[in-house]
Formats: sequence, structure tokens, C-alpha cells
Amino acid sequence: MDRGSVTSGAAFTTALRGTGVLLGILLVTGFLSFTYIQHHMMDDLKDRISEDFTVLDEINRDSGQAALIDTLAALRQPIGRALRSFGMFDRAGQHLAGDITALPAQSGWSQSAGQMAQGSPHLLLRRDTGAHILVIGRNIEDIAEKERQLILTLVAAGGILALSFLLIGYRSSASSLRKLDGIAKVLAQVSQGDSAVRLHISPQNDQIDRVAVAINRNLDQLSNMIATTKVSAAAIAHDLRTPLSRAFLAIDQAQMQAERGADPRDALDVASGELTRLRSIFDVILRISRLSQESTPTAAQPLAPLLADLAETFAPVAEENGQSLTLHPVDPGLVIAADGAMISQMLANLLQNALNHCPIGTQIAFGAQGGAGGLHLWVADTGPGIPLAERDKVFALFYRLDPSRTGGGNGLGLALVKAIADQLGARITLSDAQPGLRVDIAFAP
Amino acid sequence: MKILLAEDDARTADFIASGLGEMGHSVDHVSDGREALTYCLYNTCDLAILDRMMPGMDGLSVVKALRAARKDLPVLILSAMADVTQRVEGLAAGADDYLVKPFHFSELAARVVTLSRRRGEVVQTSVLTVADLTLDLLSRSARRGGQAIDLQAKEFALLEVLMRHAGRVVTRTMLLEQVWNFNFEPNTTVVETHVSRLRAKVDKPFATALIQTVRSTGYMMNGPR
Repeated sequence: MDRGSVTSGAAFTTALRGTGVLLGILLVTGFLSFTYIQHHMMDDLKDRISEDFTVLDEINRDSGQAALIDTLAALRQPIGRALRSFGMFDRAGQHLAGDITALPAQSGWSQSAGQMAQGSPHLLLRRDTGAHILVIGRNIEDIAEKERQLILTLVAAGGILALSFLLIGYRSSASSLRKLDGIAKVLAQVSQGDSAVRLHISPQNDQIDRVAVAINRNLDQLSNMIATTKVSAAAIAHDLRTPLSRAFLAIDQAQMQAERGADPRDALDVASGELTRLRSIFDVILRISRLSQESTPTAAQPLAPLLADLAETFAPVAEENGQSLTLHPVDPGLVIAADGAMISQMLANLLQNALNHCPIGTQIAFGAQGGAGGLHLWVADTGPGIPLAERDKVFALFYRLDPSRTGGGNGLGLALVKAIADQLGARITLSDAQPGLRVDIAFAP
Repeated sequence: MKILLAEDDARTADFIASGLGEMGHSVDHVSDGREALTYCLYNTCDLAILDRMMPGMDGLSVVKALRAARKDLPVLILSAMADVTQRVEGLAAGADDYLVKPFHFSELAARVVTLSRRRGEVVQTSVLTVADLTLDLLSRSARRGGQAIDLQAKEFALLEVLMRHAGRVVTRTMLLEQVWNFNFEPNTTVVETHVSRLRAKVDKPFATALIQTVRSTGYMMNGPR
């Protein structure tokens, strides 16, 4: 993978910016705490030096100069690093006792490295007791050491944090880049015609994975569409050819009849009938393809009159066929928020389908129910039904149960029903009405 | 009758023009929408037949422009767009009728006859009469020879369309459009069944039949009103 692409990735640049901000914060807080601790330690040291002075001054005042000199001698630490040091001078600046031999130039606080035998830096207090001058020092090497450690800790913490930030950013950037590369590769494959490839979904379920899931879903739809188009094109070609060839034959026959002086009108009627069939196939295909493109929001409208109209239209046809068609009582308050013409079209196709495919004596019923689960329309008949294995296929364009295709339908009625249901967001299920077929159309509540 | 035919497909135009010519109409043909509009604005003609999709200007825009210019000649739109919604679009634009391509010439002929009379007559009457049959549109009742006939809503609508066009052919498609207005399967027998039921009530009990079948086209109510 190209390192440049990784470091320009969003995750890495965010981590880089985050590291900058973090180091800035660390620098400011580190500086503040460092100066606070430094001051605190120095103040502490000064307090202790002041206490030493008070004690030594009391000894001098209570027991005299000799006692003080003894005390200073006793306090002297001959071996190792001196933590404390003392010096006693007369008012002329002459050294009298103690391990500090050089008198600091000014009275009060000062720092010095040179006055002691051990040579380590000390904080010194020079103060006049009246009779002589006392100089008291304490080693500040410990404080300096602590300061060094604090700085070191801060630098180390900053370094570790920055490194881990950048590392996490780099890795997440690299992982995103890997996924994006994968997406680009798959899309390139799809554009070259391979609609079967799918993106790998990692268990991380991050934003890119969610995008990948959406892309996969679209690819599924796309490959479905491609498959359907392939099937439809073949089916359309076949189904258009049948009426077309019948029309050809009928016209030829009419020509022959006309040549020998016979009446060609019957043959021409047949040709015209076949061409009408052809036209209706085109109409339905166009209607189906238009349906999947448009969507029109519609106000709610009462369902009962619409269903009554259908019953009035088709019941006489059923009676004429020796069948019966009844509308189950519909709640007059039932409304549907969909184009009434589409609902009519859908039910008309289902009813016509039942009329066409059921034998004499079949009872056809339809109706609608409301309820918490949403509106639901149904059509049921006591005819031969549809075998379980065929139920999914009947909604495909030009699919017919009777493969000889001599039956009345054009194999498009149920495809149109499905297209309308899809458009309205309704679910169609076919089931066994025992005996017969039951079609249920369920609308989302 | 003088008819303007605006159709950009020359062969279709020839067929239509010669057919209408045989019916005794004089036909002027243009193949462009703008030409059609100019023709209708500056010439008098009795009927315009406009293709919906034409170069220059589409048929619906021509109708809209004509109606905006207060030209109220009858207009029939020809279109390959078959949906009910597209038909409604055509009628809403101001067209008087909308015929879907491909069509039988007999279908066009029936509509031309219907349109040629529609303008002359203003049907404001609430009672339609053909021979001894009367249809009261307000009380929604039918009587023949003084005898009341009980009709269902669809039968009533069917009879009303036939009676409004008495003496002229009403095609199956026209009945489907005007009584049901949705797309049926081609092999549906809805129209035949309902007409046969209507006949059983309106014609059968009486000596003369008023509803005639016109071979492979549709139906006709006997005689002028």
C-alpha cells in the first residue's frame, strides 16, 4: 500500500492534529506544574533553613558562643554528600567555625556551589545574630534531581502518547484505505460486467462497512434487474412473436381469399385481434416500467365504494361464466392512502385472473380488512390454485402456469399486480385457500 | 367537414387522411407542431387531430396554446402513451378526446363523428330520450313505453353513454374509458357482459331492439334522439 495515501487518510491526519493539540496541552500543564512544584520545594527548604537558624540562634543566646561552636562541630557530616552545612563568622567576616568557609557577599538568601568542601550546590541563608554572622545552607541537588525527573517523565509521557496516537491513526487510516481500495476494485469489476462480485464486510461494522453493506444491497438489486431484464427480453421476444406470426398467417390467408374472390373479412378480423393482443402486451409492459419510475403521494380515500364498483363490474361476468363473485362486507370507514386507480387496477387484474383460470362453479370472493397490522386486501377462489413451487414465479413477466400458452391471459396480469404492489409498498402473498388460491396484499400500517 | 391532421409519420398520416377522405371529409396535413398551431389560428377548420409527440411543438402544447387563444375547435389527440393518467393529462390540457396508438381506423372514425357533433349541441338537458326510452339523469331513473326499468349504476352509466351518442357508433374502448376508466385485460368480457345485461332489461321485454352491435367495433343506439 502506498504510504503517502495512508498518511493523507482522514484517520491519520486527525490523529496527527490530535497529537499536536495533546502535546500543546501537555507542554502548558507540564510547565505550570513544574514551576508550582519547584516553588513549593524551594519554600519548603527555606522554611527548614529558617528553623535551623532559629534553633542555632537560641543555642547561642542561651548557652553562648562556645556551645554554638560545639553544636556546629557535632552537626558536621564528614562523609558523603552534605545535606546541611553551616558557617560562623565574626562581624568582620572572619571564619570562626563550620564547614562554610566563605561568607556570601550579601545577607539573605543566595545560592552557591563553591563555598563547600563537597562542592555540591546549596541554598544559603546569611543572617546576623548581633554578635556574629551565621550562614546556613541546605543541599539543593535533590530538588534539581527531582526537577530533572519530572521533565523526563513529562517528555516520555508526551512521546509515548504521540507515538501511540500516530500509530492508531496510521493503522486505522491504512485499514480504511484497504477497504476503500476493495470497494473501488469491486466497483471496477461491476462496471466491467461482473455483477456477481460483492464487497467483504469486516466485523468492525464501521462507517465504511455500513457503506459497503449499502453498496452490496444495491449490487443485489442491480444483478436482479440484469437477470430479470435478460429473462424479460427473451420472454418478450417469444411472446410478441406468437401473435405476430398468427397475424402474418391470417393476412396471408386473407390475401389468398381476396385473390380467389372469397370474403377475407374473417381472416382480417383474426389478424386484427392478434395485433390488438400485441398492442395490449406493449401497453402493459410500458405501464409496468412506468410504475417503477414514478411515485405520487395521494390523500386517503374511502375503500368501500371502490370495491363495490369492482364487484358490480365483475360479478355479472362471473355469473355469465357460471362462476360466482362476492364482495365481503367492507367497513365503510376504511380508507387507503394510495391512488384509487392503482388499487382498482390491481384488484381488477386479480379478479380477471380468477375469472380466466377457474372452471365453472368456482366461487370467487374478495374483501378488505383494517386493523393495527395495517390495511389488507384479499382475493380468494375455490379454483385449481397454484402449486407451491410455482408461487414465486407467477409474478414474473410472461410467466404462465400453462406452458402451451394457449390460455387466455398474456402472462402479464400478475406482473402488473406485483409492480403496483411494489410501487405502493405493499406485500403480496399467495397461499392455499383449500381448495383454490388466496392472494393477500398487506399494506404497512 | 374540414379536418387538420398534424402527424409527423408520413405513412400513418396517409392512412388516416385517405380513410377520412373516404368518409367524405377534406383533410389538410401538416407534420410539425408549430405549423399545426399556425394553421388552426389563421384558418377555419372543424376539427384538429394532433399527434402528441411532434417536432417543433408537442400536441399538448398546441392544444394549450389554442385554448389560451380562445380557439374552441374540437381537438383529438393521438398518442402512443396509453396510461389513464396520460389520457387525463391530455384532456386536462384542453383536448376533447384522446386516442391511443396503435388504433383501429374504425375507432378513430367513431370518435371523429362524435366530436363533429359535440360542438354543435349543448347537452344541458337532464332527460335523454331515444324513441320510447327516456333516461332521467337527475332522478337516475329509466323508463321505456311508460314502464320503469330498474338499472344498476354501471348499467345506467352505460346506457347514458349510448344514448348521448344515439345514432353514432360507440366503440368498446370508448365505453371502457367513459364507464370504467381503467385498463382492462384485452380478453375481458366486461363490456359484452354488461351490454348484454342492459339489453335484457332495455330491449328484450319490448318489440324493437334499440341497442345494435356494430361488427368488431362496438355498439350503437338506434336512430336520432
